This record gives sequence, C-alpha cells and structure tokens, in this order.
Amino acid sequence: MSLTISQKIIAAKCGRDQVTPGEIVHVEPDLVMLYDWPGFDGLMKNINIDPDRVALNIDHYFSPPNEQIAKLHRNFRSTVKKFGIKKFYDVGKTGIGFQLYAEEGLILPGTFVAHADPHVSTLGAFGAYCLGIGSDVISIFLTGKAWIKVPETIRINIHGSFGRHVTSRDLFEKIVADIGPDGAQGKVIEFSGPGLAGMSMESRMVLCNSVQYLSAETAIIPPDEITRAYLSGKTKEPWQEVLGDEDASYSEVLDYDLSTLEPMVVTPPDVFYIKTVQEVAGTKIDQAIIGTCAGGRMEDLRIAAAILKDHPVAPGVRFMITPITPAIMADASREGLIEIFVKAGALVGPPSCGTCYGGLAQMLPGEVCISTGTMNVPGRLGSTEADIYMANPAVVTASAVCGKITDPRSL
Amino acid sequence: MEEKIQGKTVWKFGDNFNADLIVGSKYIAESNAEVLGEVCLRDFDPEFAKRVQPGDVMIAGKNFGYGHPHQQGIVSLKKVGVAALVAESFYPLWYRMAIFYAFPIVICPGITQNVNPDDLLEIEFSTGNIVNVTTRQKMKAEPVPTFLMEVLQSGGLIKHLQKK
Repeated sequence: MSLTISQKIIAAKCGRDQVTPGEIVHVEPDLVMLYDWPGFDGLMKNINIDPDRVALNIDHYFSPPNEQIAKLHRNFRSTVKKFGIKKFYDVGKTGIGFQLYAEEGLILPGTFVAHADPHVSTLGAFGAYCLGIGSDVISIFLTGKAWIKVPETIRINIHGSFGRHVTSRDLFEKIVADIGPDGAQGKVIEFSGPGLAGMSMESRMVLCNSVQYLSAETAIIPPDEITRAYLSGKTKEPWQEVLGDEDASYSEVLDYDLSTLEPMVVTPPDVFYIKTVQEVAGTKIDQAIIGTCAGGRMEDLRIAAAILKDHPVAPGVRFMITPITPAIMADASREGLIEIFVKAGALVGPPSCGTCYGGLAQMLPGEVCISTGTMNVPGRLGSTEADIYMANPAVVTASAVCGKITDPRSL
Repeated sequence: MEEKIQGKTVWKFGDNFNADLIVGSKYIAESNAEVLGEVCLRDFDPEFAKRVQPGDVMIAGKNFGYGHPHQQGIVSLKKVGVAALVAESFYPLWYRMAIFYAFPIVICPGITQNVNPDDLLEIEFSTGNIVNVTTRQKMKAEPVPTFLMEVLQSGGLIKHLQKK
C-alpha cells in the first residue's frame, strides 16, 4: 500500500508497516514540547520518559507580570532540575518556541513532535509530523505514547512565485477563504510543488503556522535542499528523511499559483472572515503589531524596515514590533533594522507571545488593531468590543504609517 | 458515565463556534473551575449560569470548538452540569480535549435540523440512538471508537492511564 509522508511517519512511530486513515493508533513521539502557560506545569509532575525527548521554553510571559506566573516559571525550572531536562530555554535565552526550536535544530525531518498547542504545525515545515494534542501531552510524559486518529491528506501544489508585498501568509488566507474553516477537518495538509523552491524556511513556517483554522490536524512539507541548508550546522543529530510514495492517495489535490495572489486581511470576528486588502482599505487603526509565531522573523522585519525607513509611524498609532527570538533580534540589530524601527517611532519589544493572546497590547472598546498575529476572536486583546484585523507584515506596516488599513502596493 | 441520559436542550450553537467564546478570551488562563462555571456563556446570556440545570444537554452545528481549543470551555460546561453536547461535527482538538476531560460528546449529522432549544433529548451513548422526546423524532449518532469510549467510561484520560 502506498503511503503519504504523514502516514509513513505515523506508521514508523507506532511500529507498523502501514496505517489506514480513520484508525486510532498509539504513537511514540520523538519530542514533546511545552511552554509557560498556567496549568501546563501541572502536566509535568511525573516524567517517566527519556528527558531528551522533552523540550521546554518560556515564551508566553517574557517576564512574570505577577506572582502566579513567577510561580509557574519556578515550577518549570524545578521540573527541569528534577527530571534532568537539558532542552530548556529560560528568560534571556528564549524566544517563541515555534521558531526557537527550529533555530536550535531540534526539529528533524521524519520525526514526530507533539505539543499542547496546535500552532506546532509551524514546524511541519521541516518534514516532521508536528501535532497539537492539548492536555494529552501528559500521556506522553507518563507512558511515552499518545493516541491519534490516522488522518487523510490534502495535497496542495504550489506554483509560481509571490508578487510584490504578497507573502506565504496570503497563500494560507486564500486557502482558508476557498475551502472554509472546516475544509480540512481532521486531515493533514501536505504542501508540495515547484513553487516551494522559491520559499525560504521562514516563509514555509508561516505557511504552516495556522492550518488549525482549516481544522486540519497539522501541515507538512517534504524536506528538500532548502530544509537541509537551514539545518546545516544547527544539529549534530542524524536524521532519516521521509518522503511520501509517488502513488500515495490524497483525499483532495489543490493547486495554487502564487503569482495570482494578493494581500489578504483577516477581519473580525474570527479567523475565517477573509477579505482582500482593497476591500478593507481605509479602516482607521489605533494599534499595529508585528510579532507572534506567525510574524517577527527576519523576512517580516525586513519588509517592515523597507517601508519604515521612508515613512514614520502615523500620529495616534501604537506600533509594536517584537522580533521572534533573541537570534532574530540580534540579526535585526546587526542589519540596522532596529534603528530604523526606533527612528520611525515603533516600539521594539522582547520576543514574546504577549501581543497575540493579550498578555500585552490590550485594547479598549472601539479600538482597532492590525497584526501579524494568529487569532482575532473577540476579547483576544482586551475588550470584546475592540476589533482585530490580521495581515502580512507589509500590510501591517503600511497601515501603521498611514493610520488606516492600507494596500502596501499603493505607497 | 451513564449509558443513557435524558435532558433538556438548553443551548443551540451555530457552525464553527469558537472554543474561546464559551468562557470568553479573558478566562483562557483561568484554572479555577468555580470561576469558569460562573462565566459560562456569559457574553451571550448573563443569566445562563443560573438558568442551566445539571443534566441539561446542548446541540451545535458543524465544527464545534473551532479556533484554539483551550480546555477552560470544557471545564466550564462540565462545572455547570451540561450532560452532553451533540454536534453535527467537532473541531478535532476540541473533541480530543473533551475525551480527556470525559465530557460526553456525540457526533450526529442532522441534529440541528431536528432539535430546537427546550426540546427534551434522550441519548444512548453505546448505540448512538438519539430521540427527540418532544417531537418523537429518532436520530442515529456516529459510534464513538472503542478506545475513546473506554477513556470516557474511565472518567477521562488521566483516570484511564491510572487504571492501566
């Protein structure tokens, strides 16, 4: 029987030659990861597996805003000590996990990675099967295994290259607009095709970041030269690349030509209300954000700097830029981007998830934000009567300098 | 978990209902079940937590639990005593989390056409037989896979692991 890349990885991790979509199997992930969210410390009271299979980091609270979070961080540190976990990234050495773990070379092609958070699909860009399983991570800590339902695969073939001010985020939003919020319910999305050759690992990670909003299990991109070049020098661990069989069966095959895409904007009140930038251009904004696990990488920061070097942030707009990891912060500093941001009047903050879930950047009723974030459900950034729009970093920056949602191609 | 329950339909959700809206985004880091019960669906009906009775059931459209399924919504529904949630389909991770917490969930295509708020519903979990007692309409739910049924009957994933 021919298998997709995902089915092959799943079969290998449950010790089988093959698996069938729809069946429930118990897999042994290679790596299980968690970040500092209240309650997650309680999932790690007993860790019976090899501590090298566990990776932990601080990213939701870069500095404790209260004693409750200070205790959460302390519990993480004592867990690390108690069980001898070496892959731990603490304040000052940490960034957003869904980039940090890639930089640290922890995500290897062909492996199975589990996390409580489904945004771990971001790391599927490395040809690993990365699954968010919520509190079920406790099952891996205790027994080494977790149950999964073997998914069908939707294959999306990518052709062509992006036009000016269009990014992989726009491709993703176009897919959501086309197939809808449950368009991939319980399935895995496999990106493939010649267009991938022009997409960096950063761009691929953004593409895979939010497939949960198609109700997909995760996303995966077969490893290639670009994957190997990124990992080169980042790890000494060997890995076994897994590729799907050429005649594997897919529940659906879709084709997208990148050159036909345009900048898209996610509008309130949820992530599947998607329009083109032209349809919402002119909407007045109070706040703009570049950061979160869907933004704040080097390519995003370069896009922002290219606009901000000639245009200051508009009066009355609060523009916050948070590079995604310390390494990206350092690279941005070396390239002179941080200076451009500061001179333009943007606030540069430490790597943190805070601008996405409301740990920072809270808003009042009637206020409007445009962000590279991942969620816009009412109340995500403070008041339930504040509106959150989301878009690629070019749209966010163009909007920040004009004070209203703006098509960056018009600047 | 009881084999068969009967409860009043206390709430009807639409399609793609976002998991965070059950308690509101403000409470996605809350761990106190008392607090989560008090704020259950408060943004839609401030009196809901007082109105809902233990044993009541809920129905929902397609893909219930969409978005980023924080467990707080499930803890909240359990705390106020919701006995089951029957949906056209579930968002996969919300379904998994419900199993983890042994919150009875049932997939029943057609449920939203055949049931309205206040209807009395009878649900037999093992067979998937559902009866709208108010209208005498009979429906058939998708069977819960054997392993997941065992987890539900154990009282959730942690108790299931302890048993083994």
